[in-house]
Amino acid sequence: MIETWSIFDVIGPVMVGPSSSHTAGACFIGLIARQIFHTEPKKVHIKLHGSFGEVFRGHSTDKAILAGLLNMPPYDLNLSKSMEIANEKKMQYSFESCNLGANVHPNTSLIEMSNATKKITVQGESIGGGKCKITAIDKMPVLFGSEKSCLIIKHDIAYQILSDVLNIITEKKYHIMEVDTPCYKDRVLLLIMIRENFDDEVIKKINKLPGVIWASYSNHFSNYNQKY
Amino acid sequence: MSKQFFSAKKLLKLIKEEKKTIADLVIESENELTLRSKTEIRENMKKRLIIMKESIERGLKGHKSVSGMIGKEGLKLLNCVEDKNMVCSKMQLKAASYAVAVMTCNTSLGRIVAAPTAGASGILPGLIFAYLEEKKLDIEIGVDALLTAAGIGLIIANKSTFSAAQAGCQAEIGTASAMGAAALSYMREMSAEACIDSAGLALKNMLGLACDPVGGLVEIPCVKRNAFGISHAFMASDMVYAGIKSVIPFDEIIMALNDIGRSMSVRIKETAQGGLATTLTGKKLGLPFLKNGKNNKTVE
Repeated sequence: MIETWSIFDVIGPVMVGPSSSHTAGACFIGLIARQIFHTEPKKVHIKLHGSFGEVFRGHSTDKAILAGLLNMPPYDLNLSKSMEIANEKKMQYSFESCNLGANVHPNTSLIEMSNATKKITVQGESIGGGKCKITAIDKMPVLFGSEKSCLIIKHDIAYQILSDVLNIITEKKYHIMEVDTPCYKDRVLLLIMIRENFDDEVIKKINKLPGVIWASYSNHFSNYNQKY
Repeated sequence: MSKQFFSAKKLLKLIKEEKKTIADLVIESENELTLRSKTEIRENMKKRLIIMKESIERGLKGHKSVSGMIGKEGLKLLNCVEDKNMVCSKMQLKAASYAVAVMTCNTSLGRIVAAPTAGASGILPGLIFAYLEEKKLDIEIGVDALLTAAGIGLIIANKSTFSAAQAGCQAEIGTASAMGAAALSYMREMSAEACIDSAGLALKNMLGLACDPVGGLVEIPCVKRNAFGISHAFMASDMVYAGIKSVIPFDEIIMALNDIGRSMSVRIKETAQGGLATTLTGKKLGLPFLKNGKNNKTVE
């Protein structure tokens, strides 16, 4: 994948300090993870690797990721109060410094989200200047950022659902940019990236297909760019 | 033909062929990438410039940083702008004081525009607003200057990184300084080639800069480094104005930045495990903010 940098990534994001990679980028990872979980998780465990794990306290990396998981954007002035807000909402949270390996980007976070019915892990790296990439979902390698919308479907390897999903998407006249299907053991992730935004109607239809474990989407952030 | 550019070489080629400014081409390439209208792109950039101005104003009020180590630096500099005993020019002092003000706004958890990162967010607002005020120019020229800077930033983003954790401070203050030098040269009505040359000179002298912040906080040395980044941009722009060129082309300087970034130890790449962070004083001040208060050997 070629990185696509918008000038609003270069001059931006509009954010609350102190660090673009350790605060704003971290918040974006949380925001995408939250979109992938689709509802507010009841419990989150956040692992911080490399530079994230070393200096998270001074950069409020922990608070920023939690803020993202609470659906707060990086320009929200309440970002540094995310722990209090999580307590009020009775969301359980915990943090851990860890080492995910030498080849992992130094600003990486592995987020485990769960509620009574599901558990999803999302790994993302903050690549500098507030930009981030999601690199794994449920241990399966993926690669997408905030510049396109991504539909994510986890399904059983025994079922072929690609053509049904494509039918649902083409009905909507979306422009498909990329399709990816990483797998792990008997599970497959089907990722479809588009230029437009997905909506819940698509998810409802996909959930009716056989073998689907969960389906969700992460929409791109150009709306965020339009606000500021 | 595509208006996307991933190198200074391609950008200069497009400028020559189409007889346009860097700012025009930046808008066209953004329009191609995101399909947003050119007016909308310009308006959004202007909004960001206005947020930059608000950060300067907030910073000059002198809010204390999270750790308490930083506070009134911007105001102190601004008070000396008219002082005849200062050796820097009035414009330069003003730009430096604004840059430091934005950084104090950032460290006291105020709202800023990362340009290109939060740790280097003072340089562009400082340069642009000091120049506009001193020369009594319209804000629209500032928008064009910001777009010119964005063009330089895009080239670096596509060929390298803005992440100090990956390539040290040269990727943050170095990049911002290069972007600022181009913006300054644009406002002085110098050619596109001169803008890129100024950026090259500024970046070249920032190569090898370590990221070793005390306690891992974006405070020491980051805040004051923004003022020095301003000096680099001024000197680079003046040198090019005097007819000096950057011998190494801009694209090759970025390759040098990557090479040096790779050879740097992780201790001096935003981990607070080396350099200033592990000096006697750095350790004493920074320890409470680090993971388990753990730290490496002290440098004596």
